[in-house]
Amino acid sequence: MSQVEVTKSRIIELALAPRSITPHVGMLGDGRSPSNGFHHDKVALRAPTTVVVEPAAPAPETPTFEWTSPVVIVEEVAQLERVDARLCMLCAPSSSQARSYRLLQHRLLAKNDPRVIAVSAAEPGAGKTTCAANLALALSEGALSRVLLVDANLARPGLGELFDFVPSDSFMIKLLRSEDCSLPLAVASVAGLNLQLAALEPSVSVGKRLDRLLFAQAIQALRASYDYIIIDAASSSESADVNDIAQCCDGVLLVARSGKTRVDALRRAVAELQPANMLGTVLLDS
Amino acid sequence: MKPVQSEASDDSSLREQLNQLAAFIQRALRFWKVLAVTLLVGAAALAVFLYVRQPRFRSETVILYADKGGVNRAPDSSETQRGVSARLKELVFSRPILERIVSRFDLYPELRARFGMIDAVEELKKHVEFRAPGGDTFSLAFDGTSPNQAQAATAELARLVIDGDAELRRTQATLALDFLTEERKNRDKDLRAAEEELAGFMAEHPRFALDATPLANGAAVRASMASGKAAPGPLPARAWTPRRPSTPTTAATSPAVNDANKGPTNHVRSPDEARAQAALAAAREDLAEKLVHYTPVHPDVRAAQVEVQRATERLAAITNAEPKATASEPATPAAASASPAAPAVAKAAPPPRAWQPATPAPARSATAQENLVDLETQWLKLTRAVTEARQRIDQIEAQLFRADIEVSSERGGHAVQVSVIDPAFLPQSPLPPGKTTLGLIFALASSVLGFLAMLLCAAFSQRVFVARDLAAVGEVLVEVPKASRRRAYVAG
Repeated sequence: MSQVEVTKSRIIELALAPRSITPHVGMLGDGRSPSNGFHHDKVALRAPTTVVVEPAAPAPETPTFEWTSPVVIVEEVAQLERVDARLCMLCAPSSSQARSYRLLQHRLLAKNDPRVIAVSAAEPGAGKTTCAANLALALSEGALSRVLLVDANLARPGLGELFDFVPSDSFMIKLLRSEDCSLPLAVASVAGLNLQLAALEPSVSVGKRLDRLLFAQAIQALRASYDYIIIDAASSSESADVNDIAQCCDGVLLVARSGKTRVDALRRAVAELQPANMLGTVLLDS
Repeated sequence: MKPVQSEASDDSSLREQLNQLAAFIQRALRFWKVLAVTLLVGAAALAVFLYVRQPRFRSETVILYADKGGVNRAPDSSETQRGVSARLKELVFSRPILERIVSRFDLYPELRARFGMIDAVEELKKHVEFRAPGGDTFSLAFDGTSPNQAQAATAELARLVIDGDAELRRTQATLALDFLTEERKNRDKDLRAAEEELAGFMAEHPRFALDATPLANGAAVRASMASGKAAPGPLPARAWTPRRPSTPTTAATSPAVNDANKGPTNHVRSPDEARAQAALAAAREDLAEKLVHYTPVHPDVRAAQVEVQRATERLAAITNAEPKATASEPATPAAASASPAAPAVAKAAPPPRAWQPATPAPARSATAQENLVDLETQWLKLTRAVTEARQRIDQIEAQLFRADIEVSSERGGHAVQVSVIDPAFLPQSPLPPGKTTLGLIFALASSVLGFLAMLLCAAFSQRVFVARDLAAVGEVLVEVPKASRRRAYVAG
């Protein structure tokens, strides 16, 4: 897996130097001061080579807003020192792939604008995490968007690796450890993006089963704080958690990878996910 | 408007079909790994094949079979050519010759060890080629595992075939000569027996010696009988056995015949009576002959009947004019009627009477005539048997002469010239196909199999490739293209 390495100093330079950045400091319910709030600045990533993924043009003045929520507390910040190439919304915002995810955003809007979307697949390796992350990034492009990306794939959690950080304190981890899950729910913020993460650490999630009621309560509580909640669920052939997740979502998005996913497996997955609201299928690598 | 719509729908249908075909081809091309694997497997199979396969070397020799026109040859040269070709081919593929080749050159040791000599010979047959291109030449070829082996085995095979052919021809000529010699002995015996039989007959009936021709018809005998000249008496020769002793004719007529033969010597007839009897016999014979061919109402038959009646009256008049002192022995009517050799004469003769104390002159004449016909028949049979036996002996003599010459030619080696005009050569390169050709064949076969496998995979694979494949599952919201190599490289 190839990744673009961007030095931390360059990120800071890109994020802070040309304009006055007003980092939002959320007023959390418990009065604690978060280490970081939502960044409303566009982060331009520059590859270390001569080919620049995104031109380092002066960022436009982005509106800032104050967002306070008694539900969420940002415990961590993903610095995105290395951007995974699968995050095409960050690596190549003007690529055809990025355009496809923006088109997907509009297609979802046309389908009654579901707010909580589970992304699943028929078989592992179809690209659920990639699709969920890029969809979340596409949804978070709006200046006022509040998007939460939840890693609910207990069999193969991958959001931490994708965003290049090791989650240690998210409400999903607490939920799996059966710790205190009372509000506020801990999430992680991605530096420079309107996106927050509830990632999982693989050593914590292996062999665990998702508590359906607690998860449903958490999602229900988070609905009020976010515009969109994207849940990266396991594939239907891996775990039955996807059925519990689908119950508390507005719709399920199935991911298929060209040349790999089998039609009969997809049919079986659709049948197994009934009566969930099937939003449609996303075909990757077509 | 309708035709325009129809054309448009046809175009769209055709375009749709072309699109479907292109989509299927694209789908098949996605299985390029199958083709690659097939090519790899083909290359591996080629390598194994080249490693396992032993090169074959072919040597060839040409044999000239020049027939010098032996006396016993068939006149048609093409028939002779076919016969020689078939004989040589049978010799080439005969088991004894091939066994000698296998044993001498130690061919196919594994086959011999596992299955025996028979299978080794059968395997050798697959590597031996005999061709008769026409004319007097024949070619022999052998495929061996080494150039020297191929050359030596081909030369040895040609030598064995030539020797075998010469031996076969000698044996055939000797057998033919022996057969003809034996046949000649048998025919000699037959001829001797026929001649003895004829000689016995002639000794008993010396009058038949007057017929000098081989197929005598008895005319001279009849003339002598008609002239009334006494024939010479029976010779003191060995006893003659009649050909058909079981027939009642001979037994019944023997006394009569003897009496008839003795007739001219025992009682004296006048010349007028003898002439009248001869005329009556000739008339009756003429009548009988005509009755065979015509009906009794035919004018010729009536004329013959009138002639017989006249002859009878004349004989009766002469007989009545002579004194009755010449009364002969009573004739045997049964003997006259039982002669199967002269049915026509018997038919023409007057019906027999029960018993007569004294035989009249016409009855006596008829009996003599019937005896004469019987004797003539036997004479003809005997002479024909002798003639046929002589002809057979003449034919056998001619064949025996040819066979003798043939044997002498074969023993001297002058009949047929069988020689090697093109000796077996030492092959320099193995038999085709070579490595390049084999490689191309394997590559072509692997490619064809690979493409077929790709098409089969495309037709039966359940994998999703395009949005069309997901139509049965649900709505496809978006297709995300694959990341380009350049961007992936840069990103990496």
